[in-house]
Amino acid sequence: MQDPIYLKPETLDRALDYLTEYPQATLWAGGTDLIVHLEHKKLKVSGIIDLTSIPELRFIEDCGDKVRIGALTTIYEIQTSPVIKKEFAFLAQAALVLASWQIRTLATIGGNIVTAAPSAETGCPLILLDGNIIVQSKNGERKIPTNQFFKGPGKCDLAPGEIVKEIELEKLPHGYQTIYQKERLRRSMDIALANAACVLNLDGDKCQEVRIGLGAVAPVPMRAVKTEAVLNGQVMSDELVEKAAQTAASECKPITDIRATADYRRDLIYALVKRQLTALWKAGAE
Amino acid sequence: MKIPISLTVNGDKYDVMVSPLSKLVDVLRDDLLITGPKKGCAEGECGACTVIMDGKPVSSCLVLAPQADGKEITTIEGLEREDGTLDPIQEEFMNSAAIQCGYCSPGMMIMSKALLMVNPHPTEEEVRDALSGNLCRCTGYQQIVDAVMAAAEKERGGE
Repeated sequence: MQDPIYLKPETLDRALDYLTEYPQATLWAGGTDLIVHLEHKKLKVSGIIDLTSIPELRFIEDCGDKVRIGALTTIYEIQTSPVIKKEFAFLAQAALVLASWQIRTLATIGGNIVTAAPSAETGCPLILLDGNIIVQSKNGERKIPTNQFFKGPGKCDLAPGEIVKEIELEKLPHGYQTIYQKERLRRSMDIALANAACVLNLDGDKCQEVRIGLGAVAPVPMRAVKTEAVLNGQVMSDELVEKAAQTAASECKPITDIRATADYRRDLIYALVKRQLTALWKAGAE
Repeated sequence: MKIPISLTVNGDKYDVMVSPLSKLVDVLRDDLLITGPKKGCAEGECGACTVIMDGKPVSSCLVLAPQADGKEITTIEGLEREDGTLDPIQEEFMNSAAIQCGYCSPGMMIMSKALLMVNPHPTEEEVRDALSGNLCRCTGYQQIVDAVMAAAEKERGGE
């Protein structure tokens, strides 16, 4: 087998030049998914454009009303960033339970979203936040709202010639609480059987605004709009939480696969949504 | 076409020609004959190939060899101190009988080292979380956790 070309640009401009010159080349970020596909012979590469030496793509910046995250920021950096922990606690929680520490050191947030697994750890938090995925090509920059980026299992809104540059996220208003949880069989490394994220703003016991994201139960991380409608404007109660959890279980669209049956995944969503709403409600009431 | 890389392993500098798709674990084991890191699953599941790269733990089966160019790497062979004494982690793995077949031990000890580097006083829960990406098929987990707690205690005493 002929060895592929290996290119290691140090600027985004150079990377885009290489991509124009070698349009068939594979963009390589953390590589923790790609290298496994190589090992299993599910991926053939004619060339690699290794993005990990581009410093301008690796940063977390607090810009007042928003936070910018470079696409090559590692999951470990997300997990440990004081800015992320303060502004988007649930994104840091999601990073913390992604794969293992050895993988979080390598894996990047840009890679996690481009891989577009329905169970992607960062997916649910991102679709619940107002913000954009910013991609760059030789023709300029394009902004895609975070909730429109995922298109299907392994598919995202990234055209040939484009590279994900950064994620810009609006901060949540004061008083908004967040939570992310996943259900899995092993403490580490296991991908989620189901995961969920929730953003909740309470006024006393009244639900002013809720956002609920469900993962691994639809082709893309999905927003549970019917469940949100059950809760918005209502006074929190055990009965309301129960109704919301049942609505979430019925509106998600899971499949049966090697890891779990569709019915079991619905049960997990019921449990996750109930647990999250209860946790945020009790925490908010304190 | 092979490409040249330079990397530092356990303080020694190496210049090697590597294939772009070769993996760090294979370069360490086959080219440099540093066989502490074990190639267990070759897909990042088992943690047996864990090494410390630029101060952070990585699965060396998930790193392309060219990505290790210019990096500083520590394997189990590099834990021993310059005067020949063992790292407290190595001593406590022996004292706690945390080694059965030994296959996972290099990865377990390197991961423990990576933990104690950033968190010298971990709780048992934090040790279990840090080691959750390392599999021991002899299932000697309790002794391993005991060993890491004892090593942390020992280092604390030495401060």
